Amino acid sequence: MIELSPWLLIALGGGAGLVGALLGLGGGIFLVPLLTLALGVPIRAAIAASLISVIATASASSTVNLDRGLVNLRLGMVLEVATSMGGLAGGITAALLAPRHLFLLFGLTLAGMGVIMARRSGRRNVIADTGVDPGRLGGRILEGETPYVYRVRRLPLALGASLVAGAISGLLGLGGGIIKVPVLNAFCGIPIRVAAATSAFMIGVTAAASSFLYFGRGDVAFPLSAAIALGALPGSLLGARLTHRVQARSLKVIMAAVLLIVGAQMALKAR
Amino acid sequence: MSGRGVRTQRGVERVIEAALAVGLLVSSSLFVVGLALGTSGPLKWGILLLMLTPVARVVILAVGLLHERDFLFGLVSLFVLGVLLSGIVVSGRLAPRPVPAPGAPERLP
Repeated sequence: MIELSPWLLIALGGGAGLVGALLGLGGGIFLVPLLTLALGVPIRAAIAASLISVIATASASSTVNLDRGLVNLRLGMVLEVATSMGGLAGGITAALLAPRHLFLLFGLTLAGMGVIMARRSGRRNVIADTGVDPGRLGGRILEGETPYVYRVRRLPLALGASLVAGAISGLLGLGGGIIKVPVLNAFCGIPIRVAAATSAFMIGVTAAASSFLYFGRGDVAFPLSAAIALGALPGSLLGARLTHRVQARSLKVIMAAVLLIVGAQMALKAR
Repeated sequence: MSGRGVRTQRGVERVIEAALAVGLLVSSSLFVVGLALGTSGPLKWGILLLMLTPVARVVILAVGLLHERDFLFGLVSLFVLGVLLSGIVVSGRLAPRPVPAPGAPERLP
């Protein structure tokens, strides 16, 4: 590995934490390509560092989101059953795969997500009639001064998406938010801000499940991971605070483009 | 959800917030010390602590939900905890590498 300045890594972590918390993701989707493609870090060390940074981002943004009452604790815990099992399975599988397969998987996942993000429409999920029973998993949120109710629909689909998100998280060092947030919002009736906050809350557990496997295998490069996580903390605190000020739509479009470009590059690197 | 349930949930949220903040504060302090001194000891412990923060969060939520007599969701939390703990157990015996890859672990960047 080439010599990397801790300041560069802290800045990198800061950027990933900022964008990640802004979108309800862990930021791993940006970290892994940057570390491997731009800085020449071996892919397993990059994935391990990313998982640790994802934990930092998830924990930091959750302190902000919990305070705002945006996290749906019960829904998060139910979906965590699926993500943590997926995370464990993904982490074990990653230990057995060759680096070039990891590159290919990462590239294809990124490009696929880019296409989905680009095609997503911005429909509303909230019910203005607050007399509606939200059910055991649903909830209420305040948007400005207006209270809204939402119900959770298609729970099996949410669980399935969470399992896939967990497996991809363990395999590729992501939080998996990039899969959960769109599915929860588009198909399961969950308002985007609750979906993002609940996903951010969950990804700490998802990433923790697989991070132990990378740690046990000796893939964690301590200074690299520590510097990135150190940067991710202030970045994600800032990102979580900025989240309601930014146009979600423009962020999604930019992100879809980034995903497609980086995904293609990663897949090409696998050849 | 009853009024009491909402209040209890608020209490659990506060405890989780505090636990997350403490975990982040201590591990980031260890990171600063380790990076400043160029030693990997504090970095390793900081990373381990950071990895255990979500586990602590699941424990708190499980205890909070069981205390609230919400047994279904309490059991769900305990199951998640079981998955996490099994990951820790498996990690101890996962493929010890015959040859360490050059430059990957335990080296200053």
